[in-house]
Amino acid sequence: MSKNKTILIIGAKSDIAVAVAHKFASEGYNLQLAARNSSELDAAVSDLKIRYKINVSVYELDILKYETFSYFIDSLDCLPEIALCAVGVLGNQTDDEKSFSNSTLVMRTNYEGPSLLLGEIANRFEARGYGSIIGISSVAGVRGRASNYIYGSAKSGFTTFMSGMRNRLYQSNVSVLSILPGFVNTKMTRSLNLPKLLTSQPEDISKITYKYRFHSKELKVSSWKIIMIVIRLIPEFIFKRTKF
Amino acid sequence: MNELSGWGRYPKIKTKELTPQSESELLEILRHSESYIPRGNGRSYGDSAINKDLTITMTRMNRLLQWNQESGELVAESGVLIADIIDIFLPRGWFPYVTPGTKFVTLGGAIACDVHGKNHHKDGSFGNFVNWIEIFNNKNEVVRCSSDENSELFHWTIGGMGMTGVIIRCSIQLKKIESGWIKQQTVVNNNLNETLQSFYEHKEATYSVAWIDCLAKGKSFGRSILMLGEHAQKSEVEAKPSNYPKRKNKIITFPFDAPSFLLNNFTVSAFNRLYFNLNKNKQSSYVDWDSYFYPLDSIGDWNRMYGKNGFFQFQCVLPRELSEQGYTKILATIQNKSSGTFLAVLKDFGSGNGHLSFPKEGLTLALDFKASQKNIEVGKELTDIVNSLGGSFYLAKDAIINSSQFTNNFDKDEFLKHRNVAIKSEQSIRIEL
Repeated sequence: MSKNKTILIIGAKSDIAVAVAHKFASEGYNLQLAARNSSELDAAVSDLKIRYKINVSVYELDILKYETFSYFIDSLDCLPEIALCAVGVLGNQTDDEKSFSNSTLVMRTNYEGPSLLLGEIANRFEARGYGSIIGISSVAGVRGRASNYIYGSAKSGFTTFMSGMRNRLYQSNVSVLSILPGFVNTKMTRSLNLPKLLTSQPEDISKITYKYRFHSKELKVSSWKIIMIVIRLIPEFIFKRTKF
Repeated sequence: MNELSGWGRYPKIKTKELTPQSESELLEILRHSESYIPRGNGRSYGDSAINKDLTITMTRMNRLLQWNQESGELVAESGVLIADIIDIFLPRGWFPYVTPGTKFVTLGGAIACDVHGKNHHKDGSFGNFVNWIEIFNNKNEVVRCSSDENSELFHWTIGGMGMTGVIIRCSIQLKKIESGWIKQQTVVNNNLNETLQSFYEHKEATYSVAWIDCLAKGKSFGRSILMLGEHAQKSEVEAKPSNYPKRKNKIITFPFDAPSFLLNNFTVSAFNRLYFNLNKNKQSSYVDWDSYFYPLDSIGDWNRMYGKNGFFQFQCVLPRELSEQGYTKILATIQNKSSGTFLAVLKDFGSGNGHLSFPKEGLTLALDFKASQKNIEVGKELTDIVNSLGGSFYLAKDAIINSSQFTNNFDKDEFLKHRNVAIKSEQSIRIEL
């Protein structure tokens, strides 16, 4: 592995991304933060610089503008050691299932954008000879549920993309890590009433991410491992009657 | 709905709690709310940071915005904790000028309560080291105030218990220090008169605070241990493993509410005796900053010690010339009513700062009481004694006084000009602030 301790964080305004930024910065990583309306990151950027005395660069990026991706990667101050994507939008299932445009937005934001961008970065890493790709997906992608299958199917696509890429790059020096959190206490889930015992904090996710940053595997966040095994094992003829 | 309380866990009140993460989110909340109170880290003791309708917790607005390593000026959002400031800036040679007895307070809370520390007689309170404050005023516009700009608003905001507007960010001045060690010296005082005299004799010390054995009777009535402190020079602590020691791990966390019979007259007076005897032979030593300033922070959730009904604090200041008379009366009342208190702390104050600030020239006493009906009655009796002597009360600690007992001296008409009427706490309603 290289010694250019830099991590690119895509979707840097998300709460998980901010926690990841703090964790990696506290371990001496320089940060490249990419987001839409990136000026909203100003306070977070000064905070990270003052706290950890590291370099932070900020990039404007719209995950739906695929045509800008190559230019975006070229414009980075260096090709980072690690690239992490925390982009995601939950949407609203009951509204979205009646709207092509809403559904498309959720699908493209959670699946197409992140997959295409990480795919391109992985190519660059492979050409360079090293690097680590990390994608924050979701346990919602493990099985379609009545209450969030548009989001879930997009996350499922993303998880599958990552898994395929991991296998393709297995012989190379590029690792591909997928993190599948369950409920996390963030802006995205604030309107939901989450069960306390099953809800983790963004900081929990960032610690796991840091620990496994060079691993090539799929990681479900602890307490969800068993739950998802059970959910997967429920026969379809019973599962289709569930509403959760 | 969430049940919230102050650090004393009394009273407990159901409220809606929101935790904005940015100025724009905060503004959105304010625009849609008619009655609310901002809250920091919940370390004031009573109900000063709870509003039944909406409590806006500011701890997620906790970013550092500007830092000047040469001058020690820090600009930060109001939810930043003093603990964070020490973790980050102590290794760079800077420390808060003024700190209360816990490091887990936010900057916004420290300003709103105009907190004081063991150096008040020398340096004054927290507000003395605030360069400027930005708040949302009653039109929900961002206004900056300082001693030069909107100075009246500034002086009503410092110590103003949040009533002038939600504090968004501020600029504060840190203190240059050479090490994270404090040279501590203890002085044993055998009675109340010696205790008061001893503050006067050691007024040149940077830090001073006395722990007073409020259950000792007869010729030991009012005996105390005065603890003095100075920041150690680098050369004094060269033998220590680190010039800037890190924050201590918690020794223990209270895992559950202590059974309420644990604190009774017998155990409390035994504790007081033991504490006095343990400390009276200590003379001079070097203590790390965390143990010196924040001894109770090392016991997680120590507020559970008082059982599930919680406790309240009582802190007043009496004019210097009436201190001996007043504190004789107060200690005698506690002894007669058998409401022993673990932590009785006496401290010398210099002059005050904000218009509503608590500290003023004189001596201040802080007491803990288990929240029982009997103790609340004792607290009210003490309140009357303080009022009869022209003293005043620390609102950050109060949970029990009523509007007729709240006689802190300030110009109410002037205050109303700067008060944001949407902001109310259970306390401000209770005392009609």
